[in-house]
Amino acid sequence: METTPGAAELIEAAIESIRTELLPALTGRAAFQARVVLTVLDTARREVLDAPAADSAELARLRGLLGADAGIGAVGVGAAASGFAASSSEASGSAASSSAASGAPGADAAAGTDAAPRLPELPTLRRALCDAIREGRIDLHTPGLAAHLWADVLARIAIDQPTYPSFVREAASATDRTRD
Amino acid sequence: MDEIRLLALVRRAVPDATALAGLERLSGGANNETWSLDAHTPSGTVPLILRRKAGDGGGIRAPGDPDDASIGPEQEADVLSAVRAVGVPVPQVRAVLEPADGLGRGFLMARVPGETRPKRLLHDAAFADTRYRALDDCGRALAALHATPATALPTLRVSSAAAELALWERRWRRHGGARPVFELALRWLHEHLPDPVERPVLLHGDFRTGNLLFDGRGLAAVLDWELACVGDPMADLGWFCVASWRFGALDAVAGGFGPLDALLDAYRAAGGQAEAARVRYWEVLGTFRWGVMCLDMAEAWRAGRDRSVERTAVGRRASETELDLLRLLAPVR
Repeated sequence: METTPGAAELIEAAIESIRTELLPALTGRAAFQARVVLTVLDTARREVLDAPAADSAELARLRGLLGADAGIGAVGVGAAASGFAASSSEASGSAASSSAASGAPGADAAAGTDAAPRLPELPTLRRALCDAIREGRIDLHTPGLAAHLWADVLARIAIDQPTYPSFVREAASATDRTRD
Repeated sequence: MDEIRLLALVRRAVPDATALAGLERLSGGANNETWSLDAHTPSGTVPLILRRKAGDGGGIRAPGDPDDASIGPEQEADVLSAVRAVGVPVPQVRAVLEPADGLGRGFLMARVPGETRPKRLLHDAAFADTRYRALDDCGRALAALHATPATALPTLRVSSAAAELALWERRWRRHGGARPVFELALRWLHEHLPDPVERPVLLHGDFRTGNLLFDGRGLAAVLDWELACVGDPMADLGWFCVASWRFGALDAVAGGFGPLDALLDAYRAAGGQAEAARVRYWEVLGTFRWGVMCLDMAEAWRAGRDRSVERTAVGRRASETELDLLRLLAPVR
């Protein structure tokens, strides 16, 4: 049983302290800054908890979409429409918790983040998909592409900005579709 | 801020100013500081705004960046005067900073009373009347600014859709990121590139909810002209429609205020020629552009040009534009 606080817990403690102890004592620009700090910490906490599952799901879809020869750009067709699993509650619990405890960063290659990705294959495949779209080898007629992009974007924005109005709308309708 | 120098500057605009009060930095734009202040005179108080270029290293863009699309404050002051003369509601410029002022580059203008905060304007009951008339006001202001005579303007960057697309694609490539939705959007933007307009006109360049100030009578001032340029008038309308500027009023495509048709009708009624398909093109390009701007802000933090935590928060907003691009280009049926 792990007893020292993990990264997500440390962030949670910082958030709670700022919200309950510091923010009430601040006014004006300092209070505004503190609220921005809270926003950033909330995002970091969600990333620690949810990015590993989003990364694994993205990788699985990319393998299906790009096929075994993804590295050289061959296009596999049809296998990958894996739906709209976007919320952390649906995420594989083991992946999320083990990585949260070790403090592994999310593999946000697009943001150029600060450490080696947890899944080394992911940036390569993500890049391969970008190249394939850019060169017109994959487009919205390719089975699985739209489903992949929707699933990935919804998973990422659930981390980055879960109150964004377009997300609130689309997440609700994705849930409706799952129920149908 | 050197208040002695500031008072000397204010006296150029308000010769009988005796003292300054209420000096306060307002939460600001990407490259400019905005200061609010009051000049006291024997006959009353004169409310003013100082708009000043951020000090060394304070901007989002690297100094000398060839892709920096913003104009200098001196040009911005000239543009403000030109559009004011043709009836666009903007603050009156009171003085332009000179090197001898010792306050950097910028200008002093009237502080127009009113509301700019999008959430208030779009959601508070107190602004229901404002919302009702906002698109009429915006359509009229856009038609007027687009009709500004070229002879009244300083030299401005000319920007076609092709040039704008190239600019923002280049800026995106510089980040070296891998975002499939951005690649999808770029393909679409290249495939749907509109023909150049016959007669490029003055564009505000950042006409959106948040840069529009309303008072009890309607649109009182169009603010933040640092991205003014010359090009396709539909670019301003498309940018106004970008989903990020609807601030929760998701279905009110035109700036969160109402339907696009209402804006187009008002624009046409004021003498403008509108084309909905071009507006849509610029909405897609604008959504991509805002995504890249978010990444630019994160980069400014990473490079040490602006270490404010807000820049990192905005950096994470790039994903909202991916979602909005998908909603535009691959809507779920």
